[in-house]
Amino acid sequence: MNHLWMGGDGEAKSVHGALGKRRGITLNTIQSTLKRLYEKNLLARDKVSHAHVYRPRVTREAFHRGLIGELVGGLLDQHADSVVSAFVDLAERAGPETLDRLEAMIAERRRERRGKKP
Amino acid sequence: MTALAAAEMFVLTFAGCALLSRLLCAWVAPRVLEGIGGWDPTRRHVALLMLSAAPALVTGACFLAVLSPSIAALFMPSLDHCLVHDDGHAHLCFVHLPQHAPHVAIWACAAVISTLALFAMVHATVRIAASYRAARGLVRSTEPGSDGVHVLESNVPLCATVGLFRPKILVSRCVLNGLSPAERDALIAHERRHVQRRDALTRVLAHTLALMYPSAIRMRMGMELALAAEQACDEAAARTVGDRLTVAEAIVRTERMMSTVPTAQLGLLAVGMGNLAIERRVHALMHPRPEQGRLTVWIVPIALLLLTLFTAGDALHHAVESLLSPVLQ
Repeated sequence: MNHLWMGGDGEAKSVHGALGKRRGITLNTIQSTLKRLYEKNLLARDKVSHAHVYRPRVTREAFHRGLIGELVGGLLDQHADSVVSAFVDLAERAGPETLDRLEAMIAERRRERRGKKP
Repeated sequence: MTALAAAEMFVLTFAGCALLSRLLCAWVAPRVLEGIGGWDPTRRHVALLMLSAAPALVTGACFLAVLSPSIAALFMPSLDHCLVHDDGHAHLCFVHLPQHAPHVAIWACAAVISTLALFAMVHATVRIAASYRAARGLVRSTEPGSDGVHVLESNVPLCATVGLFRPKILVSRCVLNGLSPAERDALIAHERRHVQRRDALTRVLAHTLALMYPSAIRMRMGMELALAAEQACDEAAARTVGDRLTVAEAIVRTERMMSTVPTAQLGLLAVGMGNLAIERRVHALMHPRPEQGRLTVWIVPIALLLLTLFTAGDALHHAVESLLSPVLQ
């Protein structure tokens, strides 16, 4: 998907040339993977001569948004917290008043520090 | 049939020990949670892990204590006391198997409970697997940078460590762009500490062990465990960047970024406003306390409990046999 998102040629042989040889993956594996991604509606394809040429059906942004939504949805169901430790809780939000108050406290502490410095 | 009847008694004994353990730990847990609230996060986290395991450990100790005369009789036949009892007394014994038929009702109840538990486990596993696939998809769709961080080219803010056995750090580009360089360092240091501590794996273990608690206590323990882990990583980040306020600022700024995203984009309903965890984390960073809490204070009560259990093993064994006799004979 990364290769195709970056504008790479979507024909199996080209993908194999760009990725498969470097990673030791056979052409058959590349073809099977492209076909599976097509069946999952992540890729579209056109028949050019005897080969299929694949292109992304979703943008990287949309793909990530979908996965993030699944992940956060799992956290809401309390099933994904086995898999995820988030910097800030993804399932609950603090109110803007709370954040304003906390920011003000931090700013006040910084001012006190600057005031104490010689 | 007699082996099944013997197994029936051991299963009922174990269930009784588990129930007693659940009641005892449910009484103790809220008091312990109050007592360790002021501890430094690393020690608090360890204490919470021990508390999560307490019902399983107490059940095991109680069961072993009840069975200790039976186990002793296996290795030293002279200690076999079964012949002292008359035929109407239940024998919790590995040598003298009961002669009555197993009670169908008891096995039917056990089958129903086991089936329900199995369905719950399968349901939870399927949901966790879905989240795992989403996390793996996000990791695989990105290349790690030189610092090992997977950057998502996305306007949806996300900053998390994902995975149980080989955790990876995922951060959205918009989060990195929204923080100052020092705040970015604090955020990455925080997530790295999660990776080192394997917090997701310990949380799964703690959650599994704590299933014997009533759900209200279990949920509170889960929240406190998660908060202790976050605070421990906040402390590590503060040590790395050398400024506690920078970590506090990173937390608040990241939270504000999350708050600006319409929840519809995340595909979920807003749970509620007011996040106690953010406030506690920021307050702890701004008002550091000296290290508190000694886990060794628990050694004496635990040792006393074990000593009492195993000293009273014989009495417990006979009491359980007496309780089982009217039920099974």
